[in-house]
Amino acid sequence: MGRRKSKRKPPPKRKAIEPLDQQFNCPFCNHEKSCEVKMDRARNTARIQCRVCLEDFQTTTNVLSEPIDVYNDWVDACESAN
Amino acid sequence: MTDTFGKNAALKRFKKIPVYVVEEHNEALQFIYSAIGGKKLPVEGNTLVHLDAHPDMLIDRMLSGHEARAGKSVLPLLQIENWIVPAAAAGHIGRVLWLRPPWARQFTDGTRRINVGDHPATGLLRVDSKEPYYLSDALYSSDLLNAKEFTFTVAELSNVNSEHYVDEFAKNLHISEPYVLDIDLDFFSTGNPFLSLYEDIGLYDRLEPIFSFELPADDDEQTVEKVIALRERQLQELEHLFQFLEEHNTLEDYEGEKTDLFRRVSNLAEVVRAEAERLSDSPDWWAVFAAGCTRDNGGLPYHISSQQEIEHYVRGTLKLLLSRLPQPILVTVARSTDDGYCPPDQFATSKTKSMGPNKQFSPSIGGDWGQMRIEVATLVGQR
Repeated sequence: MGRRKSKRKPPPKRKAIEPLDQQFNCPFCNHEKSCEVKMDRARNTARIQCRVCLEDFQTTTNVLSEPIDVYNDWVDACESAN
Repeated sequence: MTDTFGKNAALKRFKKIPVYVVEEHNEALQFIYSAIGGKKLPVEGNTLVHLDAHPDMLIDRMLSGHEARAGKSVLPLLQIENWIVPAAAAGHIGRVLWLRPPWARQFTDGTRRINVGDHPATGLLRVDSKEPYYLSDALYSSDLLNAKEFTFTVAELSNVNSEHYVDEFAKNLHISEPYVLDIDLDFFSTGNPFLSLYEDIGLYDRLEPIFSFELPADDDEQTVEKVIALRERQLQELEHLFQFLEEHNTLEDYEGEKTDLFRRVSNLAEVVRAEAERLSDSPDWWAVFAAGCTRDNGGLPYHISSQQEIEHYVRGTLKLLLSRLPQPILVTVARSTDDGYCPPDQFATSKTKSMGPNKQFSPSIGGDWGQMRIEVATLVGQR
C-alpha cells in the first residue's frame, strides 16, 4: 500500500520498461546485428565492435547511457567523417 | 532568441524536437533520462518547465537515496506524484519551474533552494524544506548525506490572453539554458478522482479529521523534528490499519495498539462497509486510504474548466507563452485521463500516440520554435 498525496492513483503497476537493442547493424560491412557494445561503467567509456569486419569505435558515456547511445555516437562519427 | 546551448555546445542535437505523449506523468522521466544518456541534455543541472495542476514534487517515503542515484533502475519505482525530486537527488535536474493554474495552491509562489539527500539514519531520501507539502508527508530532515541542491520556482500562469502579461511572465522565468518543456493536460482542467468515492456518505470530508495533522507552531528545529516524528507514527499507524482492512475487511482482530486513531478508523470502516454493501460492492480500502492521504493539507485541486476556458488557455496564453520561450530540447505531454485527474472528454490527445517518440517537429530556421510551438499548442488543445 503506497501513501500518496499530491496525486493518487491505483497501486503502481511495476511496468517492465522495454529493453533496448543490444546488437546493431554494422555501418561498415552492413551485417545485421553484428555489432556488440561493451560498457565500462566505472570509466564512463564504452566500445562497440563488429564481430564480422572487426571495425570498432570507442566513446565516452554517462550514468544514463545505453548501448544504443554508443551505437548512435558511432553512426554520428561516421556521418561527420563523411 | 537565446541560444539554448551556449556553454553546452558539446551536446548533440535532435534532428527534430521530439514530443512524447505519455499517460501517467512519471513515464515522462524515461525520455528525459534517455536524452541525457544520448548526450542531448547535460548529465547535471537540467531545467524542467513543468505546467501542471500538481507539483509532483513528493518523494516515495520508502525510496532510498541510493535507489534515486542508480540511473534508470529508479524509473519503475516512481509514481505520478513523486518522479521529479529523485532526478534532482541524482543531480540530473537542477531547476524546476512549476507553472500552476490559479486553482492549484500546493506551494506559495516564489523561488526556493532545496537540498535533497539521504537521511543519515535510514538512508531514505529526504529534503531540508520545512514547507507544509513536505512536512505533511514527514519528508523533512535537517541532516542529509549526499545532498544535492536544486532550485524550485512556483509561478501562477493566469488565463490571461495579453501579450504584455505573457512577456513579463516569460521574462521573469529566466530560461536560457537547455530545458525540457513538460505539460500535464490537467493543468487546463483538473479533476479529483477521490471526490466521487462513496460520495453519498461524504467520505472525503469524513477522512479529514483522521488524516489531518498540525503544522509546527514555529520554525525551531526541535519543534519541527518532534512534529515530523509524530507525523511519521501517525502515517505508519494509518498504513497498518488500512493494510489490515485490505486483508481482513474488518479491524476486529487487529492486534496493534487500540489508540484514538484506531477507534476513528474503526468507526469509519463501519460506515464504509455499510455503504459498500448498499452499493452491492466490497469496500475499496486502498482507495479510501489514498483519498485520506489527500486530505491532510487542504485537499487536491479541483476545477473542471469549460471548453471555452480551455480554448482560451491553450490557444491564447499557452501559445503566447511558447512563443516567448526559447526552444526546448524535448517536450513531454502527460494525458492523466485514465486516473481521473483530467476529464477525458475534454482532451482527446490520442491514446495511440502514447509511448515512444510519437510526434516530432522540426525546429524552424532562425533559432526559435517557429511552427512547432503552434503544433504543440494544437496537440495539447485538440479534441
